[in-house]
Amino acid sequence: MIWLTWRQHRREALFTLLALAALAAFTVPTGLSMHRAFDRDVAACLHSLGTGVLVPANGSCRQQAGAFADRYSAYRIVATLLLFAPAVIGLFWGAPLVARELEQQTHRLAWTQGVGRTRWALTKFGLVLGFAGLAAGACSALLSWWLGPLATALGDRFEFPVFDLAGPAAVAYTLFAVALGFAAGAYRRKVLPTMGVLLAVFLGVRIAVTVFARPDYRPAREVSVAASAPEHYNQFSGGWQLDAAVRTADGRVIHPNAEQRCDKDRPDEECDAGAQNWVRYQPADRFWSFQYIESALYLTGAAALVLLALARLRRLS
Amino acid sequence: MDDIAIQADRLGKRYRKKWALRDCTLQIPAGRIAALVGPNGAGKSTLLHLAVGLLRPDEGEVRVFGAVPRDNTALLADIGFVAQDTPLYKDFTGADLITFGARLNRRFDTALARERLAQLRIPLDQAVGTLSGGQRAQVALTLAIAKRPKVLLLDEPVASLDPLSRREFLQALMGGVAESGTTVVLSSHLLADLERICDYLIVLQTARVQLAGPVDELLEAHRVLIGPRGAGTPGEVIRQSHTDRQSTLLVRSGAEALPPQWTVQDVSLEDLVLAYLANADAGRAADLERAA
Amino acid sequence: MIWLTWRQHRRSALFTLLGLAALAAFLIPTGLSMHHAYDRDVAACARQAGTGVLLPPGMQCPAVASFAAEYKAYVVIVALFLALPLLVGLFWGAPLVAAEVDQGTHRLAWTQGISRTRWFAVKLSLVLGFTLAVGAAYAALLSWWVEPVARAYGERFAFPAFDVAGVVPVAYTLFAVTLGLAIGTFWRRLQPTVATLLVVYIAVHTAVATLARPNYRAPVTADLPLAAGADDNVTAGNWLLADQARTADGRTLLRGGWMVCDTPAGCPDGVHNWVSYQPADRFWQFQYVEAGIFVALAALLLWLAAGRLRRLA
Repeated sequence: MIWLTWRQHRREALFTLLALAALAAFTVPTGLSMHRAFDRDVAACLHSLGTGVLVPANGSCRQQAGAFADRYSAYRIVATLLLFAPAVIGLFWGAPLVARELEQQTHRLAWTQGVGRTRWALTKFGLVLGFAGLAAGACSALLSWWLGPLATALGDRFEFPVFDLAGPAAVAYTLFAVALGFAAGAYRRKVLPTMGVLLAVFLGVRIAVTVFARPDYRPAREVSVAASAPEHYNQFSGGWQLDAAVRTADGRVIHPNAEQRCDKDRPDEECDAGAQNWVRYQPADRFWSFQYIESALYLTGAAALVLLALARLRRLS
Repeated sequence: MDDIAIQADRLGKRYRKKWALRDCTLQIPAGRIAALVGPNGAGKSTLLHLAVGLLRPDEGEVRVFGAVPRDNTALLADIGFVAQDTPLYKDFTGADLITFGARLNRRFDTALARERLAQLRIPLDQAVGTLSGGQRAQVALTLAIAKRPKVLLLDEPVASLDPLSRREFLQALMGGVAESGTTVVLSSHLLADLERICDYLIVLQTARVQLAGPVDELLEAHRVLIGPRGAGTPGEVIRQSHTDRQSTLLVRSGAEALPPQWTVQDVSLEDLVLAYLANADAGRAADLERAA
Repeated sequence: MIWLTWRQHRRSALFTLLGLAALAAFLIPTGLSMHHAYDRDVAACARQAGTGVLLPPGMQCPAVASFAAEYKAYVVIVALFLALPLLVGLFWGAPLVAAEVDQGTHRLAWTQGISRTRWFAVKLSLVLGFTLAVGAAYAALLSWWVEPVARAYGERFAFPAFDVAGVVPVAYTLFAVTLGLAIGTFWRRLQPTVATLLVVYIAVHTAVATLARPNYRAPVTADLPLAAGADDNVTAGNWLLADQARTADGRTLLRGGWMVCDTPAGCPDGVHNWVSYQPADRFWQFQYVEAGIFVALAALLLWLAAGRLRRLA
């Protein structure tokens, strides 16, 4: 069975390894240069700033961090494109595995040798999920290292899309996509419709979870600082800023999505009235627990889909 | 008493509301070459899939050499199966397919497989998708035979082959099972192919077994009687046709003597099968009429 | 033939229209809210700001920054829409020939009494017509939707906002479909066709966007004063290709950014900023040139595919 799985999927395996190699060939040199530039230009400032939630307002690293981010802004596009990777792996590993076998009726050959369909399915599923998981793991580890400086400079490690690319959650998405391919293939029984179902469902689930579920995995924290205070919310803390506003002392919103800086030399009626900068956020140290929660979500989904696929296959002939 | 290779007891399979096979009771003795005939949609594939364990019965049971085939990987070692349209992995070479057979089966005679393909002059290093239909069917048969199974189940293996390939396939089949006494069940909607080789007949029509038994016994039990019109009906009439003055009846009867006005003729297998198929059709038509 | 094409593709057609509807269901409400906010808060300032690379001295548009912050989430989504032409090519172009030959049904279709060329021509024109209509629909939707955010970030003329707006998405769609078709006549199986389509499309698109596009016309260069606090004019929609700080004799001091000095006293002597850019008014010219390139490629692929089809058994 192991031989059969390899023989049937060796082209995809080769393709995936080549793609990983190409990714490494691009990210390693550029990543080294980004890390060097970061360490030289930005690290010191950020180090002295610290990672607390509130930091002194005028000691901002915005200049250095901004220049660094601008320089490498093109790379963020590459990162965004890699968001498609789990879906692509699902399309090429998950969708055809069951669907092509059924479409070409070779399951009647494979299931009547000496192995039986359950062992056939479990071996194939297991090996392919294992390989896809390893590939996704390698990719996400590479991206985590590569995006590190940029994410720190922009303070968006906890936000979409960096959160989705650079952690164990990416592996979970990939396994989910592949398992979705298995299940959709067992139901649709033709390769192209299976690909369509996979893309539609995967996109739907990813959007739903990212937009609606993720902000609330744990209750968000809020911090409110007087606009005239010397401190403000630390953009570089690595936390996830969910919402921000300028509010009056009693909580009414004056300016949504803005931050007010009060200058003693420039009188401002809002400042005098005690305007507050309010931020609702997820603290940086929750990054890993959020990764684990989201991974668990997708892994459970993947397991359910594998069981669904197995159950469906048992009824086919 | 011979071993029973395939035993079915009131076997039935349903797809949603429609019965693909119903009330099927059979006993195919070991060592026989059984022909499973019937029109498309009669239930032939369903029966074979049930026998090889691809399907689970909704009613009754089927046993192969006494064992239930569903989820039975031990039994799979003794059953060779070639599905309709002889599916193969089109990008595998002959050598790949032999490795495939060897790896997935407990018992696989690699030498035999290579020898057969060499004899048939089928190249081992070419993707089987590029071979002709006849060659692909031979490869599929070889894979099944190389398992050295006790039972070979073939689902319309020659349906899409030209006459020459058909003959070569059947010859190769007979050659492959001659010495081993393997039981063979092959289905077809063309009886002419199987007439020459089979010694057991099963006729399926509209999901039911219309006729089943060893060929020699069946032929002996049926006769064609030609006599004047209106001369009565001796024995169970399967099929009748009349002209103005003469009736031709196909009857199933014992060895009792017949009234002298009847002329007796031997029945051919083809006539027998056609008669039973037409009968079933007529019966079904009558059923539909009654229901309406 | 028309009936056959419809019968073969009606599921795909339904699926595609549903996808388009889902896209619209997302883009229209969010787009309306973005346009509303932009027109209310940013538009007036943007008009006054003009089309120069820098804002007029002393002028500021703070609303731009807060608009950008509010809709930050949508910026990353823009790149995802790059996939749309590829998806159309995958589901419409690749199976046109590859799936049919794969399953052997081409032998059925091609021996029914109409010639091979006629079969190809009718099917292709119907599919192209449909996919072009779909492409035009999402091009129009996306152009409208992306404009406020693109302007707020100064990215209107840059990748990827350029690639999802205007007429180029239609050209990309045409290219992707004909590419899928042509590759299908080569591989004649679905899976390798899809894989090759993915790789080639991404490679060609990236190559054109990064190597060819900046050079459709020679960029304009300008020297800019290091004036205190002069901000770049984000909403103008110019495409900044290179920004540097240079000495008076043209030597480059700082690459990949401008030198900013907060107070006039803090500005070093003899240093000025330099920029190479494509002015915003060339946006449509560049759109047409790039669309033309992809349409030409599509025509070439069509011709290649037709040639191969004639030779297929």
